[in-house]
Amino acid sequence: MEQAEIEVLERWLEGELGADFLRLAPPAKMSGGAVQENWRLDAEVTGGPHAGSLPLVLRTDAPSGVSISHSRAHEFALLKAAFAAGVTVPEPLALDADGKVLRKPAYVMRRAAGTANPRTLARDADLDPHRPAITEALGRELARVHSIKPGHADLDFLPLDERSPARRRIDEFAAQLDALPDAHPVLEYGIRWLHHNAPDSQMTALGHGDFRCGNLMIDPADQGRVTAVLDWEFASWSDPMEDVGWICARCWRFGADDRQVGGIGNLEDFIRGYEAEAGHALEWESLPFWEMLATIRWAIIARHQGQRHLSGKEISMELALTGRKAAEMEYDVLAQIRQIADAKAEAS
Amino acid sequence: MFDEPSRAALLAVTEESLKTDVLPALDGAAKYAALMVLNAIGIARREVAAGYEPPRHVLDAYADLYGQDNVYHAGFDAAERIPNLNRHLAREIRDGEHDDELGEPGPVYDVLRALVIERLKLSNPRFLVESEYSQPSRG
Repeated sequence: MEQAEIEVLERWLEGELGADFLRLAPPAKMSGGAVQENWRLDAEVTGGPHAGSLPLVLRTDAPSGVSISHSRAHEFALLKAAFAAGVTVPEPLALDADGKVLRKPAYVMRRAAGTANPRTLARDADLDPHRPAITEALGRELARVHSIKPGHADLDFLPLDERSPARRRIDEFAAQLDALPDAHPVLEYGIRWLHHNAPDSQMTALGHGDFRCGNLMIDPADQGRVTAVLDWEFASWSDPMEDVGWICARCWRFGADDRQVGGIGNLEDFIRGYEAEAGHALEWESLPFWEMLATIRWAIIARHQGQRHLSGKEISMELALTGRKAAEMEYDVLAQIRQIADAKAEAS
Repeated sequence: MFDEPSRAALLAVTEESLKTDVLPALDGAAKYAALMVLNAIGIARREVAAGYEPPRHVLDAYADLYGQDNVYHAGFDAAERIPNLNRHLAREIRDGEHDDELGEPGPVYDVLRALVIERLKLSNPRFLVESEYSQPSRG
């Protein structure tokens, strides 16, 4: 960021935060974020409700965003709704929807302590004694997310339609495959399986859309306390089981396969936390369906990310490799379809 | 036409040098980037070694499904055959023509499995051995 930009940002934040004076240390770009750019801001604030040292994150668009993700303004509204519902999210503080500060839309939120590094959460042995508590806490967090229901006044930009969430996803997948240049018979096969096995559930709540290691921040120095649920860019009205399937799918366990919930912990702990917070159960028996849907969804996203690199719009090592990763998810799709068919044959 | 050492030899020595000379000196974001580079070079090296011949297992599986003649006629050029057959199979699957075989062992499943396995042999052979997802991955 250039000095002139930093000064514009300082004056804007002064106004937004009701400060007399605000000074920023040189902003540093944070790693990660294939879709958005995150900047680390350290503000010294004089006067107003935020006086003192204020650690912040500024979030803005990456060079080529994914068309299916939300605008910064919508993301800010989602963050506010989640904050109000008691989800542990970084408090959203200021929004520039028109891009008058940085010439592209941006917002600023508090910076949470800890790390979102998936390797820490899924693999760090120091966390092992705390895993049941962390997993239960994540169940509670997700239940709070799902306490937000259609009709919420500030979330009317999220589309709702008559199809069940599972049916809507299946239709979206077909359209997303059609947008790719090559044919993908393995994913088509997986989609047919989804078509025949979709639950009838019409339960709808706010789905986070990317609830997994990498977007969940914990503080290893504080017994793995959950400090933030990040990245609301894929939120939608969905079946609450979709988020559960996403975090439980093998492709998001980061190698810790025996811990079903994202490589973090056991399903029993997660369910206990969820039910204690929500006061009701979900259709837990439909989890294999939602894990399959998650695996197919990640394979399609991976192919689209590879395509973004190929298109030349955003040259990136990470996007290029993610494109090649799709075959790994496809392998699991085939293996799981077989496993489920074999288990059914054995039971009958 | 090309001089020696060949592209295969150059890719192999690049991978080795990156691993032994460069990687140990790195940490943090630079190490992460180097691991991704290593991963990409490995894929490229295996593809160069595999050559341009369409994989035999996939063609054989397609021959079991559609017959040898149909596989042969699927493309004037051998390299076109698999993409053309994939398009055809993808369409049939979407139209529900193979719904009764979902999860069943049989010629459709064998084609799909052969396709995935051939791709994994190039992109991440470890996945076939240990079912381990590639790292580093999107975080």
